[in-house]
Amino acid sequence: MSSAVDPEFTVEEQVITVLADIYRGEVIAVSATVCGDIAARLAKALYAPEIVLMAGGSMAGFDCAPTPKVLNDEWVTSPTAARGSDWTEAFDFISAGKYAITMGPVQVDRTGSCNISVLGDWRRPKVAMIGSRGIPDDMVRLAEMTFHVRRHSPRALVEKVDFRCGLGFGPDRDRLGLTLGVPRMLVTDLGVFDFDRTGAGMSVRSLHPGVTFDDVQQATGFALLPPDGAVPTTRPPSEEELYWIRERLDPLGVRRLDSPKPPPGLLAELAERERELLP
Amino acid sequence: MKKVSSLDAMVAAVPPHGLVSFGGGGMVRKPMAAAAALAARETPVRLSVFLAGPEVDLLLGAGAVEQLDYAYVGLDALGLSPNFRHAREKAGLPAVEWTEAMYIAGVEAATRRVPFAPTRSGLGVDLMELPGIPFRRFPCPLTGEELTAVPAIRPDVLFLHANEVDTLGNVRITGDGFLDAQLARAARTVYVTAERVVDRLEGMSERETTISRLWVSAVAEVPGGAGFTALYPDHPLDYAQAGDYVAHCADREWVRAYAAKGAPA
Repeated sequence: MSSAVDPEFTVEEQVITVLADIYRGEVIAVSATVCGDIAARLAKALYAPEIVLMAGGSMAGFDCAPTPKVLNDEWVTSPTAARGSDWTEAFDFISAGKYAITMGPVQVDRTGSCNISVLGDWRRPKVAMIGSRGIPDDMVRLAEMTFHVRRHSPRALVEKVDFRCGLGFGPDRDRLGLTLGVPRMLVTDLGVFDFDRTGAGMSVRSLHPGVTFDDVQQATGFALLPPDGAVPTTRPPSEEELYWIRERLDPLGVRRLDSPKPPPGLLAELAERERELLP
Repeated sequence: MKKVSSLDAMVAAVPPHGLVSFGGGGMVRKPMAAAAALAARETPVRLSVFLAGPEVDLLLGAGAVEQLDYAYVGLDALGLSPNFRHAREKAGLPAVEWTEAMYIAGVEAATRRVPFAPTRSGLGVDLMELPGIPFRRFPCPLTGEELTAVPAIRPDVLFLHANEVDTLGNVRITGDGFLDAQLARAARTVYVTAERVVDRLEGMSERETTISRLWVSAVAEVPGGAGFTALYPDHPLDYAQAGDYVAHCADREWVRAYAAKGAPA
């Protein structure tokens, strides 16, 4: 390891190290956000060699090495795969609960319900987003779901989601007898959050360095549960983690796509730089 | 029996108002040339697509879609689908939102030629609360457990784009197969465009997806048939061309000209 790791870190690097904690055991470690994807690679490299990595989103590359993150993962990661897989097996793995997933919801509410489908009324939406995808499926078969919201704001952290793709805690969950698919935690650019298991609301587990409780309350569209004493600071990334993120797992800086305010032209820049890396 | 045909002949055989599906997923291995040819025809069709990407955006932009079933519509890292947004937000496109597992179950029902399949999905989510949905909660006749019934998805025509096909219609897909192999068993007619038509598929790996000629109606050699979407290992996603598409695709005249050119690779 290089001794010249700059200890100053970005919020994306902070988020990656927090998310790396959720990937443990013989599970398929996947994510809908770039930081969650790099977090799975970091967990595999440093903490949990037993987890299964995919070739980015590709089912054709199953049980891969923690290779550098790129936009076109299939080219770099698939060659390291132990075997191939497919979408029907993927959903059999979900039915068996063998996935650990980080989602990137557009809205999360105080109970941990989440939305990626629409803003406004589904029948004539203000914004038609991408549809419910696999969230309703994950919710009925996986033990837990983890959320990563890139930019903590009252538009993302809402009193009530416009369309429920995943169900949080509370009376509806209790009435349905649904014990799986519970929201495990939320990670944002400001901190780490837990959902009360009765549906009473969201509390702060830790705040990223330099962030205050008031900052978070102002950026949240509902009242946070009052802290029980002093709120801890999120553990900063270690030198070893920063080395792995910067030098080994994301040398192009794809993680910057998950910045609260990504620089304009970043996608084009990454695409251009990555062309030199692809075989 | 040789199954080599042309994209023009395939598209001409799509029935008006027929149910059309596409393989691939998001920005990966989408049959863009086939979608462009279909869009240029401007005959309305119904679409049912697992993970819809720019091929569906293109058809929506050309005004050629009467109804859309999907589990996802989007352009992945390039953002939301502009013409899906317009169709849903402004034009009242009839649509049915599926979950991924429900969609897979619907395709599997069709492959078994049964009218529905049971799933556990649907509990506690709003897509089950929408009016007119084709899904029903029902008690399992054997155990009494509450499950969700989803209808069989049986496309009239399925378009796939593959790395390679042989002249008899056997198909080879090297990267992510998505639902292509299952959809091929569910659809009434299966048209495959490919980078290469060869006499015989050689050196197959167990990681590749294959589809037997028995499922395939016709194949056509259409190099670059996936357009700017990624086709492993032939070419990665072309972000410059995809970005150009996103910048212009809200303009119907531009979309029609683009479709008429055949969505160049």
